Amino acid sequence: MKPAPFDYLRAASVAEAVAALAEFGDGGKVLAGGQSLLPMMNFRLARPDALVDIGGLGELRGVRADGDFLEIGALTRHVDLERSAIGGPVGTLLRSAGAQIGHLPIRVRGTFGGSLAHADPASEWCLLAVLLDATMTVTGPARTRIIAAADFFTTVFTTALEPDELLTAARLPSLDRTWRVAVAEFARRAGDFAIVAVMVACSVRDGVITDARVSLGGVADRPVRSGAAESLLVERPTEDAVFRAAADAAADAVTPSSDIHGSAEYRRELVSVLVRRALERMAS
Amino acid sequence: MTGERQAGERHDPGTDGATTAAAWVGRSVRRAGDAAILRGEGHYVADAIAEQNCLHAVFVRSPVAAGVLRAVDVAAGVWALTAADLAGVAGICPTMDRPDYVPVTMPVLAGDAVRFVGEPVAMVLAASPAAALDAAEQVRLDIDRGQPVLSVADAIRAGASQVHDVAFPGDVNTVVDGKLTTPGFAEVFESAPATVTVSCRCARQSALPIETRGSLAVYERATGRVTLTTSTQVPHVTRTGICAALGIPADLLRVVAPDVGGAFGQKMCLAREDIALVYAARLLRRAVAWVETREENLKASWHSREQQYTLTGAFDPDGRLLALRADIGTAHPEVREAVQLPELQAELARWQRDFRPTVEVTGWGDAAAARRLILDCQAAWVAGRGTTGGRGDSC
Repeated sequence: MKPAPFDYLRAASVAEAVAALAEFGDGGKVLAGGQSLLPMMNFRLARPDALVDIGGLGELRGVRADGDFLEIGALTRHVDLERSAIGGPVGTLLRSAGAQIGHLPIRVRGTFGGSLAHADPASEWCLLAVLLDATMTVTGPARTRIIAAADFFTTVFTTALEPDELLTAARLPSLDRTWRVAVAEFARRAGDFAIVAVMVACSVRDGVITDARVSLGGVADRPVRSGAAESLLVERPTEDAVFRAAADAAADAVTPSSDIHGSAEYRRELVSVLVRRALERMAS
Repeated sequence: MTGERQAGERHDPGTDGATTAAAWVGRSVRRAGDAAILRGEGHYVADAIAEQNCLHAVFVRSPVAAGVLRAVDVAAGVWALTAADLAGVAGICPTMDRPDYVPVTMPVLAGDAVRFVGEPVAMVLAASPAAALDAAEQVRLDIDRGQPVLSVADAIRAGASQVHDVAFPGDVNTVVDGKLTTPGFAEVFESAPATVTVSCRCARQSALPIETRGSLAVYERATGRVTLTTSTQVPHVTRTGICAALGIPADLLRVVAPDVGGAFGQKMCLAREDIALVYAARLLRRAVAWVETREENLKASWHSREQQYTLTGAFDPDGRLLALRADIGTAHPEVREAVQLPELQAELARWQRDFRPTVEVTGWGDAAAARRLILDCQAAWVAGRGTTGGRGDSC
């Protein structure tokens, strides 16, 4: 094996998984789809003492409607969402965002919960969670707690999860039919994480935006909402001039950092282009 | 492989009467080896390794671009080969004897200095690739980090630190200093009605073959002969080079190039890892294998390009190129084209820097491409103005 030596436990229940995580402490790591964790272990960049494999917990896979909410199990594969028949604007978002994750083999193995817990700042599901104010259902040895998306992502690859807690599901509000949604992102190679990713959702009545949500990925240490863009959209018509103003405001308000994939200036330019593109796509 | 030909196949210049050379242009040509490869029945180095009871090598590589190697600390129980063990082995040195060229010797394993991230410092052997990886983590490199030379500007400025021990006198990092001027150049160039100057540069590139590099050295106890199966484009160069480095006659080494999963020039050069592998196979009288990881391929395999050109073309009023002045600076010179020009002046310099060594890799970025660029620029001038530009234009 390429990874450094590690212990392995395949959990038979959520309780067993959580107990194992409690036992291993900081050295334990949850294995779900393994699409980020295993490559990092193969490069020996990640060196967990033990893996707690939750792959056998079938009860964590699947989507169910729960009143005004949609509950997505942590082990739901990306491809399940990409190909789901879920109706309404949230279904549209899940399909269009899901299709942009990695390559098909990654989407077949990788999981919704794994992506949230990994907390890549450009991840589609993290962006979606922030866009829709999703809540995370988290089980620890003593209790189950609910964490709001805004509190869940703390910084790059870091969440509010304690070492002995397991993310079991996320709940998304099921938006009514007045909402229109779109995703726009840019990556230099197909299948890469986006350099910048944008999601928009607007409630539109009689051509006027009554509520607006814009989330941005790849511009900060975690996915963020663009209050600047949202405030310039609400109570305005779905017109190109409005979209331009919101896109420029979104770009002005971010302070991205430079890295090997793109300079801060380039990312800011991408925000402007992609917010506008997403809004146009939403309106069309 | 005519037996594979399908009924109804159209493009066969041998049967449709079109037998001129031009008839081949634009046609797909069936290759003999493709059928097996497409069926998954190709035989690559890793397949040969899987069939062999062998030791597996992992190379411990420099984590820094420049530094003095103080010590290599090998934990008890780990089998490692270092430069000290290879005292009798010659480095890789090109044998070109030209006044405008200073040959630089590349050690098999880094000795007293490391010169790029990924440079092999020690070879660790174990019974499996995993055990070898674990063992490699038990080798500690004691390196005094130096100031790396990272750009051409760094390499040629006064007081630059010297990357290799050799260079032209008075210029610590220049190893190629070629100048060529055809006899009539000055007169044609000076009297031409129009000149256009193009400055361009291209970045370092990596060829990134799907199959990384890899080799299997099998020692035959009865004869002392080693068969090296290696993913290479140049089996003959590989044999000659390894025999020269190890000081053994050519009949003691056979080099086999099996199916190669992509190369693009990255496998067109003698790999220092292969010398270490054959050395270890002879030393231990055992089979020894190495398959480069993707990370190693990105970090430590051969690079190409990183060139900068300043070209000035001199044109007649009809846009015909009369003379070309080329000032070429590069980490890897690739002036391989027979330049068919009336008059030419070219200056070529190669500078040493703390990066991976380079090879010639397929693709854009050679002198011919730069020359096409200046013709494109001139064509754009003519198209835009209906005439050539004046003297001293640039684009």
